[in-house]
Amino acid sequence: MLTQLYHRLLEKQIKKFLTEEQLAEESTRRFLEVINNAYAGFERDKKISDHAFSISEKEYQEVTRHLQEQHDIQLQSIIKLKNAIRSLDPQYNIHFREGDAADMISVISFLEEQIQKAKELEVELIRAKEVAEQAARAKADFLSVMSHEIRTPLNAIIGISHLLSEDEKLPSQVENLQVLGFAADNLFNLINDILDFGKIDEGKILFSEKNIDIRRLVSRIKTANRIRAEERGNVLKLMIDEELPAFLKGDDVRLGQVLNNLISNAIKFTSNGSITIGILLNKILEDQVEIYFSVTDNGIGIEPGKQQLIFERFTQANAEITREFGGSGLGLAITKKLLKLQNSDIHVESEPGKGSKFYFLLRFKKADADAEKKAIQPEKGKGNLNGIKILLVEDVEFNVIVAEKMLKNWKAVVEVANNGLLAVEKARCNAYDIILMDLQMPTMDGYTASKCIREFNTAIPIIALTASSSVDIQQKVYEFGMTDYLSKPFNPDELFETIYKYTTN
Amino acid sequence: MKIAQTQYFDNQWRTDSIPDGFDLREAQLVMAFGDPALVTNAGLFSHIRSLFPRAAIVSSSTAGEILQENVYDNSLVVTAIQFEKTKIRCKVSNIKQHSSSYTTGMHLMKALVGEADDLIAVFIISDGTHINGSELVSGFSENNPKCIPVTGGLAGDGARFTRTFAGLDQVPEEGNVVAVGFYGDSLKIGHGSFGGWDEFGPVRTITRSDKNILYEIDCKNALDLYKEYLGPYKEELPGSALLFPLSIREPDSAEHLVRTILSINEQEKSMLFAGNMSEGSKIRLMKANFDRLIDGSSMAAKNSFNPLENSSPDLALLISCVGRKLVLQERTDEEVQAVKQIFGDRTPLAGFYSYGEISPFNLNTRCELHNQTMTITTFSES
Repeated sequence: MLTQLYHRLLEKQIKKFLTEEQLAEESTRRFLEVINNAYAGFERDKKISDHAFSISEKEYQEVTRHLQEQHDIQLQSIIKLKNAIRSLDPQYNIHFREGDAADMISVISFLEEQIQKAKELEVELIRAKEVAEQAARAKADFLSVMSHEIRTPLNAIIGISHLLSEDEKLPSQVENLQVLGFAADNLFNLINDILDFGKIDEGKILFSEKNIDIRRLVSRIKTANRIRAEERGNVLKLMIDEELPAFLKGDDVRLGQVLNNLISNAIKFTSNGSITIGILLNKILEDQVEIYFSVTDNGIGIEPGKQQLIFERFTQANAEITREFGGSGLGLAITKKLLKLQNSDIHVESEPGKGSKFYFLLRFKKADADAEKKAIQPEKGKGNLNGIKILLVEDVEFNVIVAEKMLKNWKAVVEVANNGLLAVEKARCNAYDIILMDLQMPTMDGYTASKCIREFNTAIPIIALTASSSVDIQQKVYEFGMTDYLSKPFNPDELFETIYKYTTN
Repeated sequence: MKIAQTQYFDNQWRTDSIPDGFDLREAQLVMAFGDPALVTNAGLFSHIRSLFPRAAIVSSSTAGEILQENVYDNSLVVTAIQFEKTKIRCKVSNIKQHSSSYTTGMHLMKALVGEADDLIAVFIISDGTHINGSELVSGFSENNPKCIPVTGGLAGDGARFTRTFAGLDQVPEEGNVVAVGFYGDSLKIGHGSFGGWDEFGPVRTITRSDKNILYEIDCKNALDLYKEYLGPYKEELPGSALLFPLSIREPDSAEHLVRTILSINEQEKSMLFAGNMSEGSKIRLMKANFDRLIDGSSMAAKNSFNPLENSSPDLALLISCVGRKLVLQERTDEEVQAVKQIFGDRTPLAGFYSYGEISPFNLNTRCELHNQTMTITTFSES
């Protein structure tokens, strides 16, 4: 009998092949034990392996299922991509490989082709943009050159009309002269607008800071517009806050431009009505003063839908206005931009048939303490520069004639130099009370000439005559040792005041 | 080069005859591999010392001893070597004296290199529980510009994985690393290391680990994965995890290493491995096939000496993994017999079942820590 339980397979084999006698032998028993251990080992290993492989199999099935899912998603995506490409351009004949829905290669090569095309298009666009920019530059340059060229003869026309108006004249000539002066002024303003707009667009505007007497500035603007207002049966009123400081620091030229624009518009669109200029002190800050400006009329007014449009360049409320009232359509656009550059904004309130009100708030720095003292009130002994010796440096014949005539009317002694080099020589050899210096001249320009003169004469006042009142020119004028500047065309009053100011002290 | 071997087994020393011309007093190096209880027994150590009064005695605890073609448990195998021309120097250091396993390795290698210019090989016996084998081996490689062969093994503790011991010239202690340096050009060293495990299942990625502690594989808990695979044998963890070692390929490496579990932590759900398990490494489970494991041992033996240069080595030290023994069980002898067949009767065999094998992959490459391999170092003196 078996004394010990063997592996079931081994037991069967023992029963089949071994006799009881053989089993009883010790050596056989030991041998069987070794075999039994080996059977057990194999069985254990098989159990572990089977279990492990079944787990592994499960894992592989999971992996396969996951892959299949991924594949399905990919397939759907590719089909959608292909359909999207086809629907983008149904005319385009795209050949995707038939019978292979998962084929990405033809999709990719199609996309590569499109990217190539897009790149070529981009290169062409860049080239087109460069050409357009060049054209725009050429246009701006042309405009600038033309405006300068027009301005020079225009200065002469305006100057001579001033002179003529001071001469003895027939009553029939008075009206003609007025029309001439008026037309020339309009033309001058139009050209200035065009030049200004180009500069504002390029961001080239700088604002000067000098002490200004706002009351005086505004009353001059009022005076300048009075005649035109009266022509249309309008009354021009000015209301100034008593609290307003006498002097403020700012750019008188640009402020004047803004107010002139608004006032001349108001006059243009009002007949037999009134235009009111209002200036109020809004608030006083630590080192600034905020002032409220308004121009109110009771003219034709603006439809609500057009109220913002009028600030666009070359736009007026409607095309008929252009025919009836004229104008470039730049005035309000410039006004808006000039205020924007000074952190202000223009507002409009208007009702068709009742009138319009344009208003804005503008901040000014407080004026220097001695501003009042420095401002010289010209004496009313006007028109007398008796015996004052003036060197007029100017190359353009018209301007020479105009200036010479004005100055001689005031009994000044005038000598003319046609360029900077001649001016330097004359200044070295003769004694003058004041020099009027044009800036752009052949042989030697006004800047260089002033610099040379300052080497031997630091005292004599040199007044630059400039066609442009921009701040960078003003700065350059002072840098080269000049004393002050006057904008062309000269306003006879300003010319007189300036010369008087620098020669009577 | 002469070899003498003896064994303490069944409470007595074997009385094998000492070969002719072997003067016990002239032995320079003695290797004692034994069961933790025996190898730390002071009386047995004194006996060895008295037999070989002038030799350096290197001891290691084991998970089974190899003597000739047999595998033993609960014995102490002593192998004495008498070199003719080769010089040896031995160094010991404890992990407690260093900041890491890495610096321990660096320190020992530097000390051996500093002894003489003609260092040609290093054999390491290291604690197998406190030491991180991967770091230790990296430390040795740091000071080994000439890539001289560094081989050896981590001490074992049966299938208990608790306390391992290593020692030099004294009763071995925990945390010790012993390094034997061989000097002179008359000694030829060969080495071979081979596993024979089959990879199976999907390739996975280690997603969370800290040095040799593994937490997550493919963002899932690693211990849970093992338990699933072990099925009914999960109660026998960590021992049963040896049935499924991991084949690991580090992110920037082309070589596949084998890693074995040393212990598990049920609270943290983590597994401690015998070598580093860097995050991002690609791993596959491995499974034993008895015949392939035994063939693997033959392969290691064949790789460890060049039959054209010498007919058979003067000595072969076999370091095999405890995992192989746990899998092969009754058939463990067969892997040693396979080695004996390759070397023939003239080459004495000694060795032990370890918690990690140390050997380069190929000639003149840096040494690596292996698991689940038969790793053989051969010595021939001309």
